[in-house]
Amino acid sequence: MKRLFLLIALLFIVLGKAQYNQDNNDVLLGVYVPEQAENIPNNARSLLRTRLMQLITANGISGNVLRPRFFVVPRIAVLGKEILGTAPSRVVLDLEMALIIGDNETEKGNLFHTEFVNLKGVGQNEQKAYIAAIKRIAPKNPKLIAFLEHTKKEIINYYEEHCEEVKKKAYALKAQDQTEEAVKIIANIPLSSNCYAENEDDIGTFFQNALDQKCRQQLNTARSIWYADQSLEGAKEAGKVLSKIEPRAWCKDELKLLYKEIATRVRELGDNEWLLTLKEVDVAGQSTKYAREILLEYAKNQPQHIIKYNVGGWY
Amino acid sequence: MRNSTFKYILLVLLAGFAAYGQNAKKPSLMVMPSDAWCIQNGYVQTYDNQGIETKIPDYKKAFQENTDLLLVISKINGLMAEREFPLKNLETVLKGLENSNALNLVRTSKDTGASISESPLDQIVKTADADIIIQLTWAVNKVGPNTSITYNLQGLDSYTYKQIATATGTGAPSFSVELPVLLEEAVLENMEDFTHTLREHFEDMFTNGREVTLQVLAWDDWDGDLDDLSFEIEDWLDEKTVEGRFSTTDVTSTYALFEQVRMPLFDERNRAMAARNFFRDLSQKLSGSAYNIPNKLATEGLGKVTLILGGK
Repeated sequence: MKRLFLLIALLFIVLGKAQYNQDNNDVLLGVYVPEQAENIPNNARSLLRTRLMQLITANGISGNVLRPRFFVVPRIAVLGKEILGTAPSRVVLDLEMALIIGDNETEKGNLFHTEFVNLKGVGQNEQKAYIAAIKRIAPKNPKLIAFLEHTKKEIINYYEEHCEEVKKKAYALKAQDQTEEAVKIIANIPLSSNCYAENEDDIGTFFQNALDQKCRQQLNTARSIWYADQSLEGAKEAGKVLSKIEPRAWCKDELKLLYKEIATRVRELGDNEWLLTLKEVDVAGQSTKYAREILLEYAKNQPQHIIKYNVGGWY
Repeated sequence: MRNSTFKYILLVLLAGFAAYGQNAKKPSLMVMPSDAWCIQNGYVQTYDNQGIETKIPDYKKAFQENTDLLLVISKINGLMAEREFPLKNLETVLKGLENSNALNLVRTSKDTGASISESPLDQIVKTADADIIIQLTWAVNKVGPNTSITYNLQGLDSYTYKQIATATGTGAPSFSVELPVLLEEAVLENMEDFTHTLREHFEDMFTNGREVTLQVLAWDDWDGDLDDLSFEIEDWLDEKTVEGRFSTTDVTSTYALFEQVRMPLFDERNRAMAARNFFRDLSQKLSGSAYNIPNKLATEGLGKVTLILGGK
């Protein structure tokens, strides 16, 4: 009985041209919950981070993608705490949460905007009381909405005023072959800023180069896997890498060549077709925004490391 | 003839009082171990309250680990029930609260997927409580082969914080080592006095009205002055309370406390009232056109009301 194997490699991820407004990719703002003197319980810290992410994405801002330059950091102060000997016992917390917007690029981590929110929580123990208080951070809180709107304007203003400086820094990093760091800086420029509009072609070339470099790296990885092990297993592994490559004009032909080579070998080995769906992408229709979307999407799918921001100077 | 008419009137009056007594909102009673007993026996949770170590009783742990407590509370409940004072059982109330919390956690709206809304205040209110708490402390004394028990029963009004009944003493030394037996021997001696004082408290309530507390607070965005308003509130209390009995304990521009407010047990239509029903009229009067002060009426059980001025 012929061995039946099915190797499905999805070569190209088809990404529709996402509407950046809907995807909240216009302004990028990170969330950072540092260790605190007040020792917020771990579960509550995790909830606090999630709630803040929910808050900023619900208000048209992207979360921790590409380690945004600007970030929001909460600082919680306990204004009052009561422990009630009721049955069952109750811990009552009156908290003041300061939301601080920081800029990670300056030496000490700059602070430029703060808002205060009062949170009250009651629970059977301290952890539950903290969780109850943090659950009360509502994305529809008018005070928080106004705060984020103000923050968006501040970030856009910053890029209006420092556009040349930002570009120079990105190109300097690129020249030093630190493309990933350079892309992070460029991708942080909000789409709704004049800085983006006036430099769209340059930025587009920048993104294009970054994607080309990424494509070259992945193609090399797939080749090295395939040439090290030209078996069905090797084909499967190489296919996994190929499936992640975002097609760009220059590497499309090389991708096809490698695919044909692997498919021929698979046919020889198992007398089976290497099932593949090859979808062409309309390269001409791809815009700078689309390239930016792809880079952001790519960054989202990377392993999420714990991001630490520089808050030493003022937190 | 005159004698029979008098008897008839007396009978009608007695029947009337009996009917009132039956329909009035009766205070609930519950036995709780005292903080001292819980701490002595290690049933405590310890917290750091902003630098101050705070110990609070852990009732659930006490019920789960100390069978003596179950026996003693069961005995006191039994003795009180025999004297027509049925009590709420703390352990059952705690379990009921846990069940009800669990049910609320899983309740979801079919239409929107919304969960049950619960404010911090709800969390504080959802605890085992009664209008009158019977606080119990006991210690076992051993002298040679003899064992005796020293106990203290305090009937405490949850709203006025007054001790309304007490029974304390040490039972005669006995060879018996069974706690409920010792407790029964010790308590029986003073139980009649204890229940008699409680009964007097209830009779006083029926005659002179329920003693309740009114606390008036203000939201921090309210720009009125409670100092002036307190005179208007006093006028209202003077008019509505039984024989105008109340005392003004504290008044500042943002806080007022009126204690020993004797409210009638029934309204004009003979419906039984709790403090929230009684003070609703005051709340409406303040929010009406004469004063135009929006306010929030918050209640604690039958006998304590907090009126917060400046908004809902």
